[in-house]
Amino acid sequence: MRKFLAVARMAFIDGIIYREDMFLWSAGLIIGPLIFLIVWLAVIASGGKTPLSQTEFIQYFLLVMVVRIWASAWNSQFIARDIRTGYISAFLMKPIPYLAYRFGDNIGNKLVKAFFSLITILIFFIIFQVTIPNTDTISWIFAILSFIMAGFLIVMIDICIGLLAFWMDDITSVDESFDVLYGVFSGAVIPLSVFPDFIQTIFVYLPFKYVVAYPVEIILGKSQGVNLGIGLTIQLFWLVLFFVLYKCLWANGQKRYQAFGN
Amino acid sequence: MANNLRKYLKILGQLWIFSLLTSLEYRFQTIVRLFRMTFDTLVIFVFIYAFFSKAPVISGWTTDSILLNFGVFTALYSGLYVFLGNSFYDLAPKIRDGMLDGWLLKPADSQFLVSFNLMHPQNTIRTVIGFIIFLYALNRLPIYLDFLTWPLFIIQFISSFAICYSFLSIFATFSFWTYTNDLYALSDTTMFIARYPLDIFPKTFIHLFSIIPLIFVATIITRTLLGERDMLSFISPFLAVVFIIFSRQFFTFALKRYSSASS
Repeated sequence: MRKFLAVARMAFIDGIIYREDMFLWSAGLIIGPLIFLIVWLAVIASGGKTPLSQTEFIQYFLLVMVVRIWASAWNSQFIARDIRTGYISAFLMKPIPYLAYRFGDNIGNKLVKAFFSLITILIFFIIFQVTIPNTDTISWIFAILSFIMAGFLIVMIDICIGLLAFWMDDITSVDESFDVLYGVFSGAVIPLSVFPDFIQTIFVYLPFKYVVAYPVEIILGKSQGVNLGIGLTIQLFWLVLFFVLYKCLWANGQKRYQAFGN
Repeated sequence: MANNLRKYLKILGQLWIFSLLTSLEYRFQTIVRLFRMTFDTLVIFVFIYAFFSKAPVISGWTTDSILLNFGVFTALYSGLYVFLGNSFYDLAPKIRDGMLDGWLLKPADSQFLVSFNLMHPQNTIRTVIGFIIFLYALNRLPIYLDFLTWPLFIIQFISSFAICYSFLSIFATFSFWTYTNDLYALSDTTMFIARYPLDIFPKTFIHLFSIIPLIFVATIITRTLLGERDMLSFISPFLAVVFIIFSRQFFTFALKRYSSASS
């Protein structure tokens, strides 16, 4: 735990040093959902029939911004670069598991990004006069649980994509393909309730929804009772599955790995 | 001047071939990337159709006219990125590592080489899809045609190309101070606002997007085809010249800050 916190602290300090980058990254994170929100509001203002009301759209997109601060990962290309260049050899000898190192690095950076992002989101809360959804305490607890799992899930997926570099010369195609599917199916760009029912049923069984949309749906009261239990179980299932996948990729990848000095 | 033009067209051709061969080095990746580009462009097309078909008219724009705007933007911006590719994204690492010398010492204009050294021929597929969407929407709309429509459209299209390039170049040039490409990435993200007709945004945003010249990227061009002309319709060529000159001066100014690995 001490080593994990040490890595997180180093990443935090690194983030503070490059605070301009963190601010710009946070701005980029917010622009996308903000544009979609404004477009949806324009549709509603013109009398368009939408599955969510104006208030719900605003709440949805601003909650998505909050979730994406935590549920974000960017390590796959760095992992692939480390494997390709042989720099990962250094991690094989460090007294900390590689997964713990990557999580610590991710969380440390996120703390800095969260600072800048939350200020901006607070300003938008005030501008759009957003009201907090009238959600009961139990739902908030489950939403927070789902929120935490969402963060770990996206990092696990990202690390697994990066570890494919043990077998592939360039993981960019996999990374970019995931980004496209994530953009469409996670609910980050468009609320999943906009899609037809049969497509929404498919989304229930895919991991993308549980990275962004699901915690937001719990807060907005769109997932309750039995459906809430099923949703959390599926989210946990994907988290465990990707953890097992990570273990397999890491173990088998090390067997294949060669570097100068090995 | 003709000789210079021939020289730079030849260099552009060589850079294009180099980029094409580089992308074909990893053929599987290239094929996946082509599918991905097709998929995400069509997904945005479906999204836009799904969004805007919920209301017959939004701020004076019908679904088909919004699709026309999207087609114009996609063809234009993807076409620009065929040539720009990753060049501007790669500028910050080159500056940070002092490795820009390789391009600055070549007997050709530095800004030209920095802008086009890493092209993305794969973006051609997005450009083609953009044109198809443009033609699809054009076919469904009553286009206003007089002697000025098409010449004005062509001038505005070329001007928009120049404005987009200059806008991105200015933000990429900030890498000489920041040593990262985050500001450029932010400018790139901001440009995607122009895929929607900017008239649908609140008034404050429309004024903002006239200053940051997003309104000239696609909205003005689409308005011309729909027969809606105002003062802004005739400004874009002059704006393009101003932006090109400014981006050029700014880049030259920024180069003075650069020190290479051996300096």
